[in-house]
Amino acid sequence: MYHSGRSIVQHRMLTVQEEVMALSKEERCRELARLVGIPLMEAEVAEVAERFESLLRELERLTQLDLASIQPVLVFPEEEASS
Amino acid sequence: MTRHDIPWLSAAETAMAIKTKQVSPVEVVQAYLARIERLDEQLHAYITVLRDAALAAARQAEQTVLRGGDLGPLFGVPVAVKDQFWTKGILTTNGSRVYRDFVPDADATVITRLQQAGTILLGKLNLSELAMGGTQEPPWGIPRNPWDLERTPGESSSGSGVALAAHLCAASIGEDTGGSGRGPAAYCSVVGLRPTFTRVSRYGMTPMCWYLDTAAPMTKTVQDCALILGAIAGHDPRDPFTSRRPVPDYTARFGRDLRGIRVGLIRELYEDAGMHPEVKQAIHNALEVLRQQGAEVRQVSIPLVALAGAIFVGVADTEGAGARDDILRTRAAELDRASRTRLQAAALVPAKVYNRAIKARVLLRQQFLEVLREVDVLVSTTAPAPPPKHTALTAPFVDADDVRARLFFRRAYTGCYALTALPAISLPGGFTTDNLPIGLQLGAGPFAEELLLGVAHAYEQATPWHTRRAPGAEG
Repeated sequence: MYHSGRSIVQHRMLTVQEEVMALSKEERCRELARLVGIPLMEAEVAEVAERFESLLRELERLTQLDLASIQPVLVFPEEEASS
Repeated sequence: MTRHDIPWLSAAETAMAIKTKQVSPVEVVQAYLARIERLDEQLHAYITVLRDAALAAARQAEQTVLRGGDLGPLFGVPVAVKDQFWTKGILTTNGSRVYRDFVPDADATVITRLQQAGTILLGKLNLSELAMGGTQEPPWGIPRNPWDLERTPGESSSGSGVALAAHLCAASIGEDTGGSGRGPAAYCSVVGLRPTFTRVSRYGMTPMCWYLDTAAPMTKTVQDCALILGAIAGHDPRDPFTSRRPVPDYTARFGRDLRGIRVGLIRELYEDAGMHPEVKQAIHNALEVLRQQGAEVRQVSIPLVALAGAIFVGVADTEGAGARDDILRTRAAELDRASRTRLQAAALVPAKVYNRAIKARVLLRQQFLEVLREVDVLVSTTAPAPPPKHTALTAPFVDADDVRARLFFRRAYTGCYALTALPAISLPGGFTTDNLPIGLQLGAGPFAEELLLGVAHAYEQATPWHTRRAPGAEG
């Protein structure tokens, strides 16, 4: 255990999270793009970052929903049509 | 009837005029080709005009008429399709430089079925790049709205909306992922239907979003829409998701009043503070027309509709980025800047966020089905404001709030039906004092297109909006 009471793993995770949050939104965007293998044009990084932050902020609104018991479905079963 | 009268006919009227030998299929095709030649240099509805092939098909159709063959309700009708549908041996661009040399070796099922119905393919229509919307520099020109050339015709089936409003084809097939068919229909004052997901085959339709895309009949009248849907709907072994339900006669309810029909105004989409006042008034007026036809009208609440825009982008943009992964990795430089940056941003969204969106989609569907036990048809506007100017769409984004206002806010109106896999139709619902179109949107339960089209037809016949001509069509 660390002196703060956190495990080494927990401590490491927090450190990574803190490091990510310390990055500018452009740097975060560059790093994520590198990880998923999508090349970005340097002149457009700010625009991609703006769009990405906006997307996440919009999607953050969904955290207010209680979705714990919902099973995700991609194509709805036809039986529902007559129920 | 003169050659100049022909393009102003609906598809059903055109087929009847051919059947009764008032006009020949060749005269019909020539009349449309002459208009395309005169007007499309400015409107940019078409990417490819199939002049020779259409004339050859028309001459063949003429022989069938002379032989006294069995002519269906769409026989000889010139149609044009969004350039997202594969056409064997014919360029299919998907509105993108990436596909500028793509010539499919097979027809989309929709194309095959249109041919079986006796229609004649006039050409392939312009669209936003990869059927996404927001293209800043469309490679085949900026599609112009015939109601005001400075304004957008809507996205992404832009060319379909323009071609119908300017009478450059008799009927069209667009595609609707989250409103790409109904949006242009509303902005161009024509009819656009999103059928129940699985009702129409997606084989040979380049995907934007695997679990939301559907072919969308777009027409001058509700009757034409019913006939086109009847022609293209039904099971297709090449698209395993297509339903095996029989295809009904979608005109069966035409001519009946609306007594016994329960209509629900979606409160969350009516009390939107951002709605243009003339759009709100038009919806109020539309409800009165439905009441006069005998419908019982009430307000209903679907609370999650308020988040439908967020759910939609969570599903559609991330799936869209997944479907375009190969392009993003190797050919991104060929994309329009707006398409590229939108897809790149969506590609970075974490899986847990996407999973939350597809779960929220299920919850939204539950809320819709619950309300559809109380009412038969749902009502809202298709778009909360009249068509904006092109310049408003292509201006660079200022900040994240600007992105939200321009990309997400309006998606709830049409995106909610895409997410819930339910059918919805946009039809002419009035005009602003500036003569800009307003779309009325009606939605219904799964596979309830017959009812939906019946109610839409009753409204259309009681109002004059579908008879008004766009200034840009008169040239």
